[in-house]
Amino acid sequence: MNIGDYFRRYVLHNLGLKIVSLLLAYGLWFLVATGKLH
Amino acid sequence: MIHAAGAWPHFTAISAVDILVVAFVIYEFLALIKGTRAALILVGVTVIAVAVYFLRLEGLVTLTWLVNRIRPYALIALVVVFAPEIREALARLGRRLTMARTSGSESDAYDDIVLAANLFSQNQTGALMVIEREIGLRTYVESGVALEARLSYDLLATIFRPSAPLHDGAVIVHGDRVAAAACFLPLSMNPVLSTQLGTRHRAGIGITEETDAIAVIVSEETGSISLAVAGTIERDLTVDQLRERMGELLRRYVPPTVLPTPMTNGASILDETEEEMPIRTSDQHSKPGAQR
Repeated sequence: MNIGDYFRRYVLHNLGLKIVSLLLAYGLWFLVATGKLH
Repeated sequence: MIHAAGAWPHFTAISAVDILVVAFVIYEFLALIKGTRAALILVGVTVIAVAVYFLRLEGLVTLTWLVNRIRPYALIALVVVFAPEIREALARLGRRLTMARTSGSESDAYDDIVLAANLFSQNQTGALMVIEREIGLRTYVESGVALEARLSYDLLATIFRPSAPLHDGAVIVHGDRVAAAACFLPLSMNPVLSTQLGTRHRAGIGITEETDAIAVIVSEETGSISLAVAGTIERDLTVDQLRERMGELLRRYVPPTVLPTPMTNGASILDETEEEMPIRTSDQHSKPGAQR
C-alpha cells in the first residue's frame, strides 16, 4: 500500500466524523477539566 | 492540571492523550451507528437532552424533578436500546486485539464469491450470500439446508440456478465453506430503507443488523450488486468495488482479478460454467472454481 492509499484509507475516510469526534472529545475534556461537568 | 473551577484548564501531553483516546472511542461509536436506526435514536436522545438542559435553566422545577427521577433509568434504557451496537463494538475490539485475519484458503474462497456475484449480475440471477465473521450464524444455518461444502464458484452458480431447489434463500459462508443454503434470514424493518428494496435485500440488511456478518446481494430484477454491512447497504457496486470493499471488511489485500467475458443474453448459468472460462488472478493462477 503506497502513501496515497494509506492517507485515503486512514485519514480521509470518514474525515468529517473524525473531526466531529475530536471536537466532542475536546469539549468534554474542557467541561470536565474546568469543573463544569460533574 | 485543573487550577480552579471555571478557569482555563492547563493543557499537557497527558491531556492530549486523554482527548485523543476519548475522540477515538466517540469516533468508533459514531462510525458504528452511522446510517443505522441507532443514529436516528441518538439524534432524538441528543435533542431531548439539549432541550431538557435549556428548559432546566429556565427554572422549570416540575420538569427538573421529573428528569431527576428518570435519569437513573435513562442510562439503563440507553444500554438496552444500543445493545446491538455495544455488542458489535466489543466484537470489533476483540477482533482487533486478536488480530484476526482470514487465511489464504478463505481469501481464495471470497474471490469465488466476487466472481459468482459477477456471473449472477450478468445473468440477472437473484442471489444472497452471507459471510459469517466473529458472531456465529448457527441459528440461521439451522433454518436452511446444511451443506458444509467447500466454497467454490461452481457451487454458488449451481445453488443459485433458478431451477435449483436451494436457490430460494440465503447461502451462509463460514470460512472457506458453505455452511448452508436456502436459509431464512430476519427482514430489516428499517423505515429509512428505499421502498424499491425487495425481500432479498431486506433479508441481507436484516442479518447485518443482527450480527457482524456481511451480505452480498444480487438483484434478480436489475442484476445490480449490493453489499450490506452493519445494517447499511451499498447499492449498484461494480465487481471491482465489491472486491475492494470485501477486502477492506475482511482486512486483507485482494488482488485484482480478470473477470470472465460477459455472457450472451438468455444463456443459463450451467451453459456458461460448462465453457472454459479465462479466469485468472494477477499472479496468473487459475481460479480453482473455474477450472475444468
